[in-house]
Amino acid sequence: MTVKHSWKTPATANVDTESVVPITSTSRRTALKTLALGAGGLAATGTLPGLGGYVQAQSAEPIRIGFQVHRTGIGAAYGRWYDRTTRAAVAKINAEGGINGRPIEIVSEDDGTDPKRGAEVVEKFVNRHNCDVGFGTLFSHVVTGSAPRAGELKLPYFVVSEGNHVASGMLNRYTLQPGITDVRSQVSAMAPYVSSSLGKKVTMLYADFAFGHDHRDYFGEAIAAHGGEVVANIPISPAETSFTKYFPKIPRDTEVIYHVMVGPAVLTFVKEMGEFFGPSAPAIFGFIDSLEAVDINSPELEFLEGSYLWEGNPRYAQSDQSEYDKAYREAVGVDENGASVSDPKDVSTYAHMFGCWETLHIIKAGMEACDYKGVDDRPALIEAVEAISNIPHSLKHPQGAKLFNGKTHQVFGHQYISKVEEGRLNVVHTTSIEDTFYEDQVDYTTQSL
Amino acid sequence: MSNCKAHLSRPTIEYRRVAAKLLTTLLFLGLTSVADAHVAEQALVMLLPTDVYISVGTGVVIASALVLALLPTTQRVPSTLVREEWPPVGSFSTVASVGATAVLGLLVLFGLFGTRDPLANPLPLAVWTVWWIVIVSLHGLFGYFWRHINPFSGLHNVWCVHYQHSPLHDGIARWPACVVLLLFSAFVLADPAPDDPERLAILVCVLWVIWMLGLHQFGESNWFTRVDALSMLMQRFASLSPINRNENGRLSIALPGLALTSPVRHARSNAVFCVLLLGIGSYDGLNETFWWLAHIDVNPLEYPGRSALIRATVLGLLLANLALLAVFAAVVILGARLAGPIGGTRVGVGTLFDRLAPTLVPIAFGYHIAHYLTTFLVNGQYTLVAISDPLGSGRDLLGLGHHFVSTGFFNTPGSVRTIWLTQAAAVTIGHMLSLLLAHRVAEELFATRRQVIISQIPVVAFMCLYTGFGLWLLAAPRGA
Repeated sequence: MTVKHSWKTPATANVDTESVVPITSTSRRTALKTLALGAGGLAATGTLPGLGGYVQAQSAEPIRIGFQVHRTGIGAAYGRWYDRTTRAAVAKINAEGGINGRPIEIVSEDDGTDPKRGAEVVEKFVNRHNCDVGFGTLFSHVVTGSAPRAGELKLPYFVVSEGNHVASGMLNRYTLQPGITDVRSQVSAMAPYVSSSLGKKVTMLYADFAFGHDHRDYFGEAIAAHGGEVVANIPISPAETSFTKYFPKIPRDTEVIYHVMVGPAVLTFVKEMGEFFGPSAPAIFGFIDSLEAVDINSPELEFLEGSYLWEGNPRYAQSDQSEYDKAYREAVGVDENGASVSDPKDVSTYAHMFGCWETLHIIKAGMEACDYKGVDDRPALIEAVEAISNIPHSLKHPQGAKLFNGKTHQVFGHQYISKVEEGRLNVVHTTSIEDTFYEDQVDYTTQSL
Repeated sequence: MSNCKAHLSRPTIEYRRVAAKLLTTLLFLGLTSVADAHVAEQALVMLLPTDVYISVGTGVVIASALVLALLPTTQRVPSTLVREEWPPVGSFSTVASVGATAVLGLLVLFGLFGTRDPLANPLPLAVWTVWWIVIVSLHGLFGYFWRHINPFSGLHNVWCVHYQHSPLHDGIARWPACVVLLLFSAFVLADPAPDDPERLAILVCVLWVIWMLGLHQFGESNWFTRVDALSMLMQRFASLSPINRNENGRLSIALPGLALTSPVRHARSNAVFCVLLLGIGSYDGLNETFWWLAHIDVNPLEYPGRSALIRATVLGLLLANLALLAVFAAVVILGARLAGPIGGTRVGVGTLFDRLAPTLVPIAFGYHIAHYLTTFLVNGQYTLVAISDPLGSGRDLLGLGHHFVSTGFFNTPGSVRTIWLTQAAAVTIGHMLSLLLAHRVAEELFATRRQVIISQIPVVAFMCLYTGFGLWLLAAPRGA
């Protein structure tokens, strides 16, 4: 695949790793821990949002970040962890002095995981709450429902959705996704490992709607580019709850099964597939999305053993865990198994929620780069974020280093492939950032601000 | 930042934390309840042998019907018209009610000016978790205590102490309550944002004014028993309380729901109201299932949000209730025909419908408990956090410490099984009690034991199918 990137790489475009609180190398670990504990503590005591806003000793006018959160509706399980991560990140940033010396105030608005309400929430951010930016949307249909209104109102709208809608060019210059990679790059990046380590003959089973089709198209293209082939595409009706009739359609020479199932039937699907194949199953690869928040370390879920899963961020702390990941977990209140420190069964949406933490740090970096003063500087903020390119691995970006593409408004980063071994997910492969590249589909910088 | 540091450095008071943990635990154990489809929980439910559980639950209901048929006829007690007296509330109740009005006013202020987060703002938590789930459910245990703590009576009594209320025309019966119940359900099920604090605050204000004007015009007795569907709902759930207070004020234990078997005034509209209670509760589960979503052309894995489904949801609500009314009427007609005449006269189908419909209330109550259990488990925690820190200022009045709201019980097979079986038990027990009450009504209306049993055959078939349906609703994959 031809990769045409025109990364902006001016010296000023790099996100400084520790620009606000200089930390010497000798005291770095201690400082990280202190920051993390402070952030976690503040988040836990609920100090940030609330009646009348935040509680800050600082007298400066706060930066108001409108948090479009899925508090109710189908996204609520994710929304809870997005909220928790956001609070922790804001506590950390405020503890470090805020943005340009101004504290962040989070203005939460529930969108009900509803596109129409999403657009209304964006309007509220501008017309009622006087927010500087909008932030935090996860579900794709809410993003695509809200982004046009954000563009019309010229509200910088930072989504944490992993949809391809930003980079595809269907949105507008005011919508950015700088804190989480998109599904196209995630899927494409799986192909090299699948092809070289699991097998070249792949059968894809996917939910028969847009989400599954994206995987079918992106992965099919990528695996072909790496010497593999999709020997069968098997679409599965989204409303299906039993899958035994599909498995006989899997060709006998299949070496890898790539499944893209979401929704409540996903465990049934994997279980029935395990029962169908028995011990001689091909390698099974899938995305963790539907197993987010599921505690896989359970005897009843032993059928997951040995399968491979994409992870946006490894749920289980690995042997080579970075000090940033450790501090990030402590700040959010997540243990080494990816569960809440207050309830080891309360498994987080660890593969996705880092996007909130990292996006808030990008907003901070952008605002500081353009010396953001108020809503009149929103266009300057967009340009400042577009100028960001290299994003080093740091506590601000604990998932890993990234590259932001200012033209497509999409960030690119490492992806993780983990194997279920004795009830935990062990990372067996980390992709390069380059593995996730694909051709630019839009140049938002040509649109007027 | 000094305030933040002050909170961090505040010494931990261990006993408060223990008390808070205990309270949280009690919340988990105390009651059972819904709203957000939690995918992990759903996925784990689908691994459970729910088809076996459904068979067992239905079998239990069939067995209880057989036991009823085999038991000797209970001594027939001539039923008397239940008089829904509405004695003036005492001074304590007036004070409690005025206090509730003040609390409601405060909550409205929170709704209008507090955080926009519906899981942190005290108003939506108070309305949908504390009132709609906890208080409504507790009526099934403790009887009708809403009359003492509602935010209307006290002020009305002070305001209208010597006022002569206008009568509500008899022909209107309780039909206004049926309409109000449907409107309320439409708001709960179809409104895009029933949790939105500001929207809810405005609605509460509007309803409060309407309620006060209604009380002023028609008086408590008319308003609370013929128009105010929410009070009527709680009155009917309250009749399931095993605690009975006799004329001397003494407490005793009674068969839950016995009052539902007695004739009441405005019997037809009362009967329809009771059928609607069940219809709404059933539709509230049905409208989330893959099955329903497929019927309205919605991909269950791409739920478009409530805004896109307002018309379909309201239409479904009306159709579901009409369908249940038709089916139940058919059951009653069939029962009456099978039983045959008594001394040349058939028991009127209308009478049978009016007397049997209230016996559906235990099922509706079981659905309420089952449906809202999971919501309660989660939002009960948010409520505790909000009580502990009502202003969002970092206070920790309950000593919760670093309490993170947890949904860990949705993530493991064992706890999901426990939750599911609890819900199933609520549904099954509701059906068993309904059967018992329906049997008693038949004993009162029919002359012979044979007629009682034969008249109950369609009812038993209906109850068994409805048990299967109710348990299927709990097990069915949901996309909303």
